[in-house]
Parts: sequence; C-alpha cells; structure tokens
Amino acid sequence: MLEVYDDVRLGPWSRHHAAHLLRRMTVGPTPFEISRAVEEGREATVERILTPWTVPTEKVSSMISDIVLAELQPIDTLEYYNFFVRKDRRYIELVQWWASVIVRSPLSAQERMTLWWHMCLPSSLNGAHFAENIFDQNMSMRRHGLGSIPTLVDEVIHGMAMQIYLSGTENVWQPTNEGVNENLAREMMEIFLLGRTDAQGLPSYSQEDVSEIARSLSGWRIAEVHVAGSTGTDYLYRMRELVFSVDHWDPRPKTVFGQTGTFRSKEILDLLFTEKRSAIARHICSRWYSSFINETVEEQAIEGMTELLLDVNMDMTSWLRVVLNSSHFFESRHRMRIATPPMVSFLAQLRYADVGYVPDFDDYDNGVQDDLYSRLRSINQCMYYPPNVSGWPDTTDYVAGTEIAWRLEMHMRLWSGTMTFKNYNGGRQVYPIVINSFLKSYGMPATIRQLAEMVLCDLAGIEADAKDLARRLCPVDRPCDNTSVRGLMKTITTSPRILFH
Amino acid sequence: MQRRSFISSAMRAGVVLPFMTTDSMRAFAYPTDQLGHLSATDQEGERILVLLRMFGGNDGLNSIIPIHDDEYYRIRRDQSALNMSIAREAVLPIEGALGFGMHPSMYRLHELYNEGHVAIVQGVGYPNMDLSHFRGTDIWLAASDSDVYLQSGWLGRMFDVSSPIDNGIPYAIEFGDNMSRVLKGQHQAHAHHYHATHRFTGSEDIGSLNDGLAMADEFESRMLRSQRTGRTIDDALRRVGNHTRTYSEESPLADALKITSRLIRAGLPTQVYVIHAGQFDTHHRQLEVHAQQLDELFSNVHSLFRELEDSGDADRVCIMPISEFGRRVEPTQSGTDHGTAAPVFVIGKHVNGGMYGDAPSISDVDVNGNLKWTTDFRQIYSTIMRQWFSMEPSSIDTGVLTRMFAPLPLFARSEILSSAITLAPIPARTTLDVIAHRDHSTRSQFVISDLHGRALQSGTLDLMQRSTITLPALASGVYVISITEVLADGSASVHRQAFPVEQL
Repeated sequence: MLEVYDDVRLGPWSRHHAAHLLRRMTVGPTPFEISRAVEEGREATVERILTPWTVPTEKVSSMISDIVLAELQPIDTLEYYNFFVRKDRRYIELVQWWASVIVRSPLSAQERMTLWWHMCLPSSLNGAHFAENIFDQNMSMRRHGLGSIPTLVDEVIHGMAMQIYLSGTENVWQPTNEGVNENLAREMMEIFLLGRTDAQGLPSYSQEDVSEIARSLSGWRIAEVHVAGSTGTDYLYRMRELVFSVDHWDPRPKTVFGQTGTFRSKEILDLLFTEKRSAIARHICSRWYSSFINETVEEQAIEGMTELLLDVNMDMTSWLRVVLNSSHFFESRHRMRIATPPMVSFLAQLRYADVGYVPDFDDYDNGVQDDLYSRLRSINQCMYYPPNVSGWPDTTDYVAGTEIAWRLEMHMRLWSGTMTFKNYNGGRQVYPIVINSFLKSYGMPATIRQLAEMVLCDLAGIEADAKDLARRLCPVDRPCDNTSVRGLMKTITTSPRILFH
Repeated sequence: MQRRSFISSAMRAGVVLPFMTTDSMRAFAYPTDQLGHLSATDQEGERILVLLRMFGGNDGLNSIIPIHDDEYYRIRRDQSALNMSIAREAVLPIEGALGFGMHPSMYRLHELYNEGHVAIVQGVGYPNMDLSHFRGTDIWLAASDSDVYLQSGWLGRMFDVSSPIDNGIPYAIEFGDNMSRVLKGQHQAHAHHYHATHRFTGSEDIGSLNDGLAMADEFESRMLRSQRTGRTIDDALRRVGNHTRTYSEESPLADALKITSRLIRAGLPTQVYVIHAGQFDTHHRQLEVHAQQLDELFSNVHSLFRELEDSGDADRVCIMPISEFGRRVEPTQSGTDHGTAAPVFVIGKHVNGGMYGDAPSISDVDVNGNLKWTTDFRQIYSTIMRQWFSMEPSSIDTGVLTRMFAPLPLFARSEILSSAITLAPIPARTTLDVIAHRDHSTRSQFVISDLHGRALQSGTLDLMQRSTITLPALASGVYVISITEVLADGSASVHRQAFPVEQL
C-alpha cells in the first residue's frame, strides 16, 4: 500500500512540495496560488483541487441544442456552403472554449484530468463529424474524470463522438455477413482498458476476444430526421443521442473471457469490469503513473496503486486523495521526470503569466481570431486533433528536436513581449504580460535574485542549488524592473528543463 | 557504409577530414567534383532510401486485385452489404501477372511499373501477425518477431552497424511531428528532424538549468541537433530551385516529398528519408477513402520520381511504402477491418520490375478469416540492405535483423559493402593491400583508375585473403579501386573505393 506522506523523511510541507503538486495536477499554477497552497497545507490543497467546479458554457451555447444539422441537399446552394463553414468554425470554437476554460479556470485538477482522459481516450473533431459530439464527450470526461471509471468509460464508449470516430455506428451485423466492425472493440481493449500485453508480457486478449466483443458492441445507430425545406431543400438532422437497434445487433451467443451470453454493449462493459477488473485498474494506474509520477514505472508502486483503485471501487477522487497525499508522489527522484505534454506546458505558461488578453477568447464574440488555436496546432498537440487513434505519444523518446525548439521559441517570444497576433486594423499586438502584476503575485520580491529563486522553484523544480543558480542568472542583484524580469523569465523558460514537470 | 558516409560527406563538403582506418589517422583532402567518372549509383554514399509509412493498414486486396479469383468477388461484392470490390473492368492490367490488376487510382504507379521501375512483392507479412496498429507498426519498424519487443528500429540498427560520422550533415531525415522507432539505434537516435519554420531564434546556450537532469540534457541535444540540421537543410534548399513537377496541394506528404526531392537534387548526402504517407485505416467509406489515399500517395511518388529523373538523380533513389498490415478479406459495412498480409512496392530505376512472391489464397485463410502471408517483410529489408546499400550479409544477419532472411532479386545489381574490404596502408605509396573479411575464396577483377576515370592498372585478386597489389608509379592524390566479383548466383558485384596516395 502507499505510505502516507512522511514529514520526517521528505521534510515539512514547503513551496517546493506545493509547486510540485500543482505543476503536475493542475495547469499553470500562478505564484499566488502556489503561495496559498503552502499556507493551506497539503491535505487541504489536495482536497481543494479535487473539488469539482461547474464549467462556464455560455461561449459554446450554440452547441447545446438537442439536434444537429448533419447534411443538406442540394449541395450547390449557398446554404450548403454556409453550413460547412459554420461546421468547421465550431471545431475551432470548441478548442478555443476549452483553452479559455483551462487558462481562466480556478485552480483545479479537473481540467488537468479532463485533458488526461482526452489523451487516454482520444477522439478527433473531424473523425467525430461534429463539434457538438466532441463537446458532449468533453462534458462526460469532466463529469466523471474525477469519479467512477466504469461510468466514464460507459459514457465515452456510448457517446456519439467515440461511436462515430471508431466506427461504432458502422458496426452492423447482418445475417448474410459474418463480419462486424472491430475498430471500437479493438481500440477499447488495447488503448483504453487493458493494453496489448499484461503485467507478465503476455497478450491481454486474443483476436477472438476482439471479434466477440465487437459483436456485443454492435447495434448502435444515430437517429436521423429529414425535414423538407420550403424551396426543395432537404435538411438532415441528427439527434444527439444514440439509439439501440435490435435489427443491427448480433443476437448470437458470444464467449468473452470464459463467459458466454448474448451480450449487448452495456453488458459486455459490465463483464469486462468484472472479469478483467484488476487488469483494467492496473492499466489505468500504469498510464496515470507515467503521466503524473515518472515515465519509468515502478512495479511495486503500481501494485499498491492498483490495489488502492480496486479498494475505492475505481473512484478517481478517492484514489487521488490517497495518492496525492502519499510519500511516493513527492519523492525527489520523481521530480521533473515527466515530459510535460506540449499543450499543457503552453497553456500553463499563459495561465502562470496571467496573460491578460488572448485574442481567441478575449475577443470571442467576433469569432475571427484564431491565433492561439493556430499556435496549439503548430506545437504538435492540439485538443481533439490526435495524430491517430491512440492519441499523442507520451514519452520523451518521441519528442523531436524541432518540437522542442518551437516550444522554447514560443516561451521566449511570450516573455520578451514579441508573441504577437494581428489585430483588426492589420497591426500587430502582443500577448500582454503585466510585469507589475506578476511581481505582485510573487509578493513583490525585493531583488531580481529573490524572484529568480522562487521562479526556479515554481517552474524548474530547483531546490538545493536555487541560490547559486539565481546568483549565476543574475550576476547583479538589483531591484526588479520590466527589463530584468523579462530577461530572467526568458532565460528560465527557454531551458529544456522547463519542458518537464 | 562508414566509409561511404564519410567519403560522401567529404566530397560534398569539400573539406579535410580524417581518413578513418586503423592504419592511418592522417588527414587528406580531395576536390569535391573529381569522382564524376563514376556513375551516380556507384559513388560511395550516394544511395538513398525513401521510406513511406502508410499508417493504418493498407488494403492489399484492393491494391493488387486478384481479378482471377471468383472468391474475391463473392466475398467482397456478392455477399457484402455494400460492394467493396474493385471491378475487373476497372483495374489496370499488370504485365506479367495475368489474373491480377492494379487499383485504378494507382495509375501513376502503373506507369512506373510498365517502365520496369516497380517491384511488387505479394503476400508480405510475418509469423503470428499482430492486428494492433501500434504493435504492428512497432514490429514493422523494429523488424522484430511478433513476440520480441525491441526499442530500436531496423534502419537505426543499420546505422549502428555503419556508424556514419555525425558531422552536422544529416544522414537520416525523418519528417513529421514525432520521432518514430525506425531510426532509433541500440544506443542513439539517428533521425534528424526538419521543420521549415520551427526554429529557436534565441541564444542556443540554453542548458544552464538542466542541472544534471539527463532528460533535459537529451532535449537540449536534440534541439541543437535539429537547429544544425535545419541550417544545413536550409542551405541545401537554397542551392536548388523549387519543384518542377506537380504535387498535391495542402498535403503533408507532398510537402515532405518536395523537400526530399530538393535535398536529393541539392546533393545532400542523406541516405534515408522517412515520411508519413497518410491514413489507410479504412474502417468505413473504404472505396472512397482508399482511392483518394492511393491516388495522393502514388501521384506524389510519381512526381518525385520524375523530378529526380529530370535532374539525373533517380538512379540513386529507392522508394518503398510500407504499412503495418493489410485488411480482412470479408468487409464490414462500408469498410474493412485489420488484416494481415499485403503487397509491398519497391520503386526505383535500379529495381528489377515485376511481381514477386505468391499471392495469398482467399480460399485458404486463417481461423480469423485473414490471409496467410507468403513472404516475410524482413526479406525485403534484407534485400535493400544487401543489394541497395551493399551491406555485408553477415552484419545484416547479426547486427540488424538477428538472423538470415533470404533476399529477393529485387535490384538489378548488387554491390559489396565498402567496409567489408579494408585498404592499407592509407595513404598508400608503392603497394596497396586489399583485406576482405570473407569465409570463402573469391577470385575478382580489379581496376585502379585516377579521378578522371583513366584506368591505370588491372588484375585479379582473391578476396578471401590479404592481397597485395604493387602500384605503378602514382603521383600523390586520390585514386579509385574497382573490384568486380562474380557471386554464386551469377550476378556481378562491384565494389569501388577511393584511396589516397602520398609520395614522400
């Protein structure tokens, strides 16, 4: 089992511990929020960040209707063109909305965990056809990402986004044709639930299991409604829910992991969470561990975490409450050992620096500023644009030098005040950082070296050598001013170390 | 290949570099353009592989269509909810392969096939094929058995063996957003990444905070390497014009191929290019999506090929698209599921065009309804390393692929690995020893020529032993020895290597 945080061995709760916790479990904690966590203490901070909050959805109110226009005929009309323009526009708006939620949200593990679940169970905007479907999936992950894992998986698997993205609604059985579409079944087993191999390195499931589970998952369809327009136009609407069609479901008995029955999809998920409960818990713990503790997984810790996840009935909040209060989470050997996902580190910089104006969402009503969206696309990681069905590679091995260069370049531009976007007049404006507010967030440090020490702690996880390093970075210790602060931040945020947490 | 890369780099750069032999570490230089009498393909380090990764599993049955087989039409047309077959009258006929036709969207490949530049290997797979995209991709990139988990890739291990000198000129370029396994060696990553705009413009002295954090050091090193690569490639791109053939618009594949073409034309001595070639995971809307993807892939490959022909560089290039598996015989609704065996295409001027291997039987599938493979994909890799990169067979079998995979006669002529033969002393004066690491006696012809291609001496030697050639009176400079060996299969292998002579 996981040992509770040991004050004697790991030292009393400090800024270093608070920064470590918040760097990993939230996105871009501000200096003030880190200070507050130091004052509140570990347990209270963990409790606070695990408390769910209600996300504002006003900016995506256009995505909350019960039906979605899916198609219209004839295709050579202006209406058709406008329909596709609006459809594509909503892809961008959804990404911008989530980015705004992350950058402007109260400090919460909910956003980071929602991102993590998205990275574990990805769907793409294009692959899910409509931003509305992806929005629903986002809300499912938000609702259950800190709750019951079986419920989360159930909602995601039976959500429109995943069903369309992984061909679930194409999984149709017909008596004349043995084949059903295995796409959803295979990726669910491999990526979401079990992994290709188990703890012993043996296959977690067979091809026969995939086929049988695919047959169980068959039968889900999208309800569609045709509406005739006044001038001969035919509108096709889709309901925002799946309907189960017995005619499209394979009614024959299936045998999965030793159990035989005529299973439907809900039943097969129940069966998996019963028969493979430990293996699923282990898979999820391993993935979480490599994302939040250390890329190099320690088997003993995984065993303890798996046991714990089973004990708490796969409830993420209960599980995280223990894990985030354990010694293991704070061991110094784990500090700065995980490559921060590009979108997390970029949005974290915006939030940490409290960038006062982001064109994509601070001028949202006009809906034409896509600068942040374009930057997210350019750093090789943008929400809902995964490279393939398994999402983004999440270990340091796969990070290319060009990506590192570009991410550091963006940090440099942000802090040197040269990260610009086009305004409506064709001029350039910068992503503004108010240095005085930034210093206030740090409690107005007297000198640049004092600031450097705290920044090194908060962003770079540097503890013991912080004083020496601050002296090296700031040979002349002087009061903080705009130039010296920007120079310091430019140096620190362009270190490759910053890309870890 | 060590010497290959080295000489090539030196030739291109026109710089003085240490000649890496055990006999001498003395530096020498020779002009950049004096090996012109050698045909392009004979020049050391000039051979290039463009590896295209078709992600998702390409449907082999709808690429090379078995039009002779009624079973194909029964399953994919008559019994299928939607017609998922390619009609007999729509396919492009394949010369020399009655009963098979090419997907109509592959008309550009068909054109190259008819010119004898495409080898089609049927039924490619491996024992116990894995139907996972990711495991399947790992196996194809690592060239491992299905139950062996390797972190390195086959091209990475190939470079491990050849040990090219990393002198700032990228010997392997991977396009795309991530480093794949294919260019990872056992101990180092060989891939150089390139992005036209992703550069760090600040001071490159960025490691002050790494503080012993090995991963941060590694990131720093990758970034600096990519910066160097970027500058080298930008310089090379400035030396050549833009594309002269038509490529697709707004296509990452086309963009990568355009840059590849320019870099090859600029003479960058890069030996391997790895490019992502689109999504072939056709679970639904297969007929439409597959046709689009095949069209985009092979139209752009065709443009690359023709552009390199125009510039006289096509001789040096071999292009090979690969995919992690084929697709199931029986369709689902509007698509097909993950399958097993599929054809592989090897494209190039020096390819022996034609069909190879046996097409799997549609009537005799495995228990999961998948095709049974007939040619191991590692046979193709082995062939490329032996016949295209002229690597010594023993180093392929033990250093890259772990065991012997019988090569296929895919290339018109093979060459012996340069490093399999050592010349001594370097620089030479009155004699030249040829030391070959062979386990059998082989009589071979040799010709020594100057840099203008004039033959100065010829004779025979035994490649099994250390043979000493008494040189004629040669002035100080660089000369070339060409050794022609008749192999057991009757084909001739030619080995060429430059060597310096220095008279006191």
